[in-house]
Amino acid sequence: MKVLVPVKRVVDANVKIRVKPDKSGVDLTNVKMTVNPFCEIAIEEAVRMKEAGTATEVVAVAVGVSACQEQLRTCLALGADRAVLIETDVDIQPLGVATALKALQEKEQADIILFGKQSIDGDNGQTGQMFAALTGMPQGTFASEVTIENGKAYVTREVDGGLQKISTSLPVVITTDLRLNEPRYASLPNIMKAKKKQMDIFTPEELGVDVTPTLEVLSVEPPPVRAAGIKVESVEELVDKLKNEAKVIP
Amino acid sequence: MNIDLDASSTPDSDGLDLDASVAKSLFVGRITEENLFPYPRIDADEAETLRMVANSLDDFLQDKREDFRQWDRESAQPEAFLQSLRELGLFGLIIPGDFGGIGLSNAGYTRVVEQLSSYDSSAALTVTAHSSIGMKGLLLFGTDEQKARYLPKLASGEMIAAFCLTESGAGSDAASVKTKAVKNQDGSWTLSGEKIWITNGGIGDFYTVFARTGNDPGELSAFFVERSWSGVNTGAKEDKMGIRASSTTSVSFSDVRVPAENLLGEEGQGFKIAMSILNNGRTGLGGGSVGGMKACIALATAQALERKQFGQNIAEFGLIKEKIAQMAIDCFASESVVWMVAHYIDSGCKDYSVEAAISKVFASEAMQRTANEALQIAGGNGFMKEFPYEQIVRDSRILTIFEGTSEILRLYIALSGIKEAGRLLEELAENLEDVFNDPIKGLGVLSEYAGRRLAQFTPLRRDRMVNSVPATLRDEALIYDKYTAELGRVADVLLRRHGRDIVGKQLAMRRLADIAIDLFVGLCVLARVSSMADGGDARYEQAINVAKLFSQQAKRRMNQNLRRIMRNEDEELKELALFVSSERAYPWDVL
Repeated sequence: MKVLVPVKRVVDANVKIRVKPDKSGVDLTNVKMTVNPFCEIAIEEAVRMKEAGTATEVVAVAVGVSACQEQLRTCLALGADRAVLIETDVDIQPLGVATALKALQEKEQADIILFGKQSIDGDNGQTGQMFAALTGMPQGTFASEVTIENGKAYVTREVDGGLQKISTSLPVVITTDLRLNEPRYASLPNIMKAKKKQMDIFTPEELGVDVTPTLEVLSVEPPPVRAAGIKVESVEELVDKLKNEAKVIP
Repeated sequence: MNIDLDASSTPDSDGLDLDASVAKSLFVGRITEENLFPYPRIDADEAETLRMVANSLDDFLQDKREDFRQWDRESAQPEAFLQSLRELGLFGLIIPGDFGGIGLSNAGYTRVVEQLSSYDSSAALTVTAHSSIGMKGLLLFGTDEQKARYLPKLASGEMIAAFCLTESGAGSDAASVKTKAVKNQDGSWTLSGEKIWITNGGIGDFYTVFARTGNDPGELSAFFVERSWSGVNTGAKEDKMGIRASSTTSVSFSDVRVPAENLLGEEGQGFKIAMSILNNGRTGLGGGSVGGMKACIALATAQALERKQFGQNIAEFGLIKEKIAQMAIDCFASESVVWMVAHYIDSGCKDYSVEAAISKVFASEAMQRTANEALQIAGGNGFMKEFPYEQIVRDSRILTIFEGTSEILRLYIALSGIKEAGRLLEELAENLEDVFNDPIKGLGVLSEYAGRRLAQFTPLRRDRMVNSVPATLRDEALIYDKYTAELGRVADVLLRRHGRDIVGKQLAMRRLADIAIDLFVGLCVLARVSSMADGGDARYEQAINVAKLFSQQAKRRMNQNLRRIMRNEDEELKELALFVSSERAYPWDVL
């Protein structure tokens, strides 16, 4: 059983990001980049499937700039068997990624396609679902537990107010939620071994797909700076301000 | 019979002269440009690996900050933490892949240590005491059989290594070791004695031990000793000021039988082996210092931008700006010199001990300045245990003490340089005989030497490094040009004036060392900035600024040191010290 794990290169969660002066996007020069945390959870789940004997091969795939190879290497160090980069310099968006992945899936014929539920940069949360729609596969999104048994996938989904358990046929699209697992650290020997693992690079043209953005970003704005708070002298003053200034109580 | 000031050279693929020592040459007024420019760059493949390693370490360490603080207080690293260090592969950093390690270069290793140290000094020390010194002897001088026997276990961390040289009577004076190894009839050795302050002593399983094996003091040999052997004991954990979580204990040997095959290198070569290990391992401490400084700068800038006094961020105040700029200069300079030395080691340079000593002295002292200033910027908070500053200050205090104190290393730097200058004088003296035997040849000798001296010791600007530095740094290049000539000149003068007695002139030696430190560190900074791509951005412009600022500061210090070599109050100072010491107390009172 083959597992395909699409991963995204994103700005590290600990970086205090800065918006470019022309507001066209986030300034990425000399900024630490990592594997999107939700994608890391997906890799971990796939590697565990392999360790448990459920899966036979784990393939990590990224769509984006050449530097994505670094994140793919990290996935290889975490236990993926090989990696594929669909290299493009265009600003990647969910529909383009899903289209490119569909073309790759036609070659790979994976049984499980394990996405992170969203990336921490764009926060779109769309790629997995779009991919499922394009390929017509069943989907189990926001998974907090996944079991593959007797040719079926059992997915526990984190939904508002509780958990939903579903079962689907294979091949299946699964997107991972935060509580699915806790990813391991890439050990140094595994990082070295990852250098010898196979990495194939295709262009979207080679796969016969067009990943040109369909959305135009008009402006990226940093969140407004929080104004300083004030100290109030009494409960009465507080209530008064909440009522008349903040207008949060009637 | 040439007086060969340039020494025979064996250039490597990068155009490096592998026989040359840049720092020693400074004492004869020479700048070995080919070993400075272009500044070494790590290859893209290893750079990618190192970024991945750094990311993995970040993931592993960033949520352990509270643990590190607690382990500092409890003065112990839990076994589970050591186990995770093993699982991450941190004990195999420099061990070749064939033996289960990851075979990083010295430069790569230094960078990894930097990352570790930016989180916790004790954790970094557990790893570096193992790699930089504990098992380095095996890697450098071990036989194939010894490597096959021990390296796989050391790479996995099944065995943790420790370096056992220091004794109660043998600190800076490392040759006065009393631990003895006596050869038995079957070729094995009987080892007895006690080592103190052994990092990883309590958690170590593999000790590189130095013991006397001859009648002469200083005739040492090195042995591998396993902790499990009969007669090997470790003392209680030392209660230290800093690096408290790291294990420091005494290790004693009572009639321990060491098999013949556990002798490291040749009998009697122990002292040389010990010094080679320490020289090779210095970049680990340098990298650690750089990591510590980067952590301090992150803390200090955050504090300066958030703390408001008199209605503005304290980052706006000149006195805070001065500190932050100095921290950046110190860190950049340390990083530049440590990385350069690591590159010398990786390239196969044969003579880098003075450069390594300079990098250790400079980086460790820079780290202490930086830690103190970070604490100062935090003000009262800096003094509170609730904040990380006090631990950083405590942890960094050891840096100028262990693995060669700043004092002993300064003397080493100056004496090695002076020896180089003296060697040239001796060659001249020898060749003077030839002048009379063979006037024609002799004339060549004399005129060449005279020409060199003129070129070296007169302030003629010869535009060294003209093709290596950008136009904007020409003035800075001239500073190093001028003061290198000056160092050559005063070294020559001091040698002629004092001859062998120069060894006893410690204050003059210290000043020579300080000039050499400023020159070598400054040249590394200059080379690094000269090799940077002009991205037209602030990062590049400010790197130029750092090079200019460091050069100006170095110039002032060098000037002062030069003047005080010739004119000083050293005798009065020593007289006062003698008096106070003889009184055994401060001898005055206002009462």
